[in-house]
Amino acid sequence: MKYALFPGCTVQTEQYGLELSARAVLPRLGLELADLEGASCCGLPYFSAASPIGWKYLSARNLALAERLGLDILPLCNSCHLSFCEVRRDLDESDDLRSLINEVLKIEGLEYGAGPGVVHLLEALHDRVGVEEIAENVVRPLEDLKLAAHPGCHAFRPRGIERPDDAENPRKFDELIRALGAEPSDYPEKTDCCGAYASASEEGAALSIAGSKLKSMMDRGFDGLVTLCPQCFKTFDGRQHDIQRATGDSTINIPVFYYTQLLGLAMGIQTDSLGLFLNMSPVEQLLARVNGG
Amino acid sequence: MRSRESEMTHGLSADVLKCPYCGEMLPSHRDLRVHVGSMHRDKVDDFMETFYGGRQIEVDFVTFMLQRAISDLTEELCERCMKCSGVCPISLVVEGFTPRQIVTDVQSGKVRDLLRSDVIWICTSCLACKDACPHEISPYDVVTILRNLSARIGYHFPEGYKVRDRALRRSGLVQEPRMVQAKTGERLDRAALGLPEATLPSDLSRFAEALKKLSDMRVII
Repeated sequence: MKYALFPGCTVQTEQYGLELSARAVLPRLGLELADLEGASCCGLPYFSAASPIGWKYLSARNLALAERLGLDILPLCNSCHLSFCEVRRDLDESDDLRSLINEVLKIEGLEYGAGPGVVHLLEALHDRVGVEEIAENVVRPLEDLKLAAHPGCHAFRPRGIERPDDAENPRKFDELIRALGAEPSDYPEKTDCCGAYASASEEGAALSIAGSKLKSMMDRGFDGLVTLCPQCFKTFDGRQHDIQRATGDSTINIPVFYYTQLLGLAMGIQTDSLGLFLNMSPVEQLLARVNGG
Repeated sequence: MRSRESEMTHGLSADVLKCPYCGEMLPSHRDLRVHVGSMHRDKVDDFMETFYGGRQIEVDFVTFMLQRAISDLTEELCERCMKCSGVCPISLVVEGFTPRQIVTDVQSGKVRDLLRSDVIWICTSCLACKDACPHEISPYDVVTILRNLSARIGYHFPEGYKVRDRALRRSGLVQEPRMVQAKTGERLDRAALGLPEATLPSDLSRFAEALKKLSDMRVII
């Protein structure tokens, strides 16, 4: 199984922990990665606010690049994945849109034909590799850890278009966590938003939303939070100090991981190759527990 | 429902490239302009003014888009059940903000105020309201259209968006690859981390040309 890797803006400009761990882990599970030369932003949600047609062009050009390689595209971001799925649907449904987009794609020497498959990391791991196969690759089980799965809104919404997980009851992430030997647990705030996209206009609101989610996880006794979405991670991990300040609650203090980092850890891969030294949240204690027990 | 929504968000409909004078279908906007220039030479100025002209077309476009966007938002359809507001994360932390209030304001004709206000830019795009509405009204889509219109007519486009817009046109990404700080304090870039160079459009001038062509395009409805 070979994929055109699409890290997306946030991952390849600052969320290096996800890219490092994905590149370290996925090939060992048979998910071979090809770099998508010439790729750009997918257009969602910033460019789409100013120019819907520009947004569709941006997603279409990335899809066209993957199509040229003859590979399914594997975005490392929930929103990029949603963007590709929506634009692929729109291009399928409207000949006018497709011909308009193709007219402009010519400028860049590209063409959108049937379009590539779009695969979410959650689907690649859960549906293609499979939970059993992942469990078989675990050499260092993450025992006695209670981890909160945070799939991120765009992994299961909106209902009108196929998403990697179920909107009512997203379970795939929990199953992937269980495969590592850790204990996932349902919690009422699981499908709540991290607030990230409010920060481009309303900083305080974004941090307050993130803070109340982190607080509820701590109140429920979770040892850590696990996500696959770079926007959510950036908020919960990179901005935990800002969240403390904004909410005036210095007790908010919880380790945050990318799933691929924990997967790599459980597979016995060195922590440095997984970019764990880049996590800003207090991950050290938990890592020590896993590493040396 | 889907086709209406699809039209709302990309601003195209089946007759998008129909010549307004003879009805002939044209494959592209450039072809349409060439067609009008050669077949309806006497109407060129009129055509350019109507379809590619200055600000007036934007005002017409705004009016048309809003009519389309809110045509289903009738009193009968929105039962004011408040489900959208109940699931909105912003409603919990920003006083006075609810998705239903935006829908109600649009219904009662306060569109100009909405377009000029910060309110439409607070939404986190979590899509919870879209999924919660029993009548599929989707306050999220209404907000998306309002944002788009506000940006197009130059009423309001927050600084955080402007910065990303500029970076995208310049580099292909909404921000350029950054140095990040490790827990140890060490500052590292992609190369130091052993990552390959970031992928970018191979010809940035052609990329910018394509984006400019799209931004300049006044999509005809």
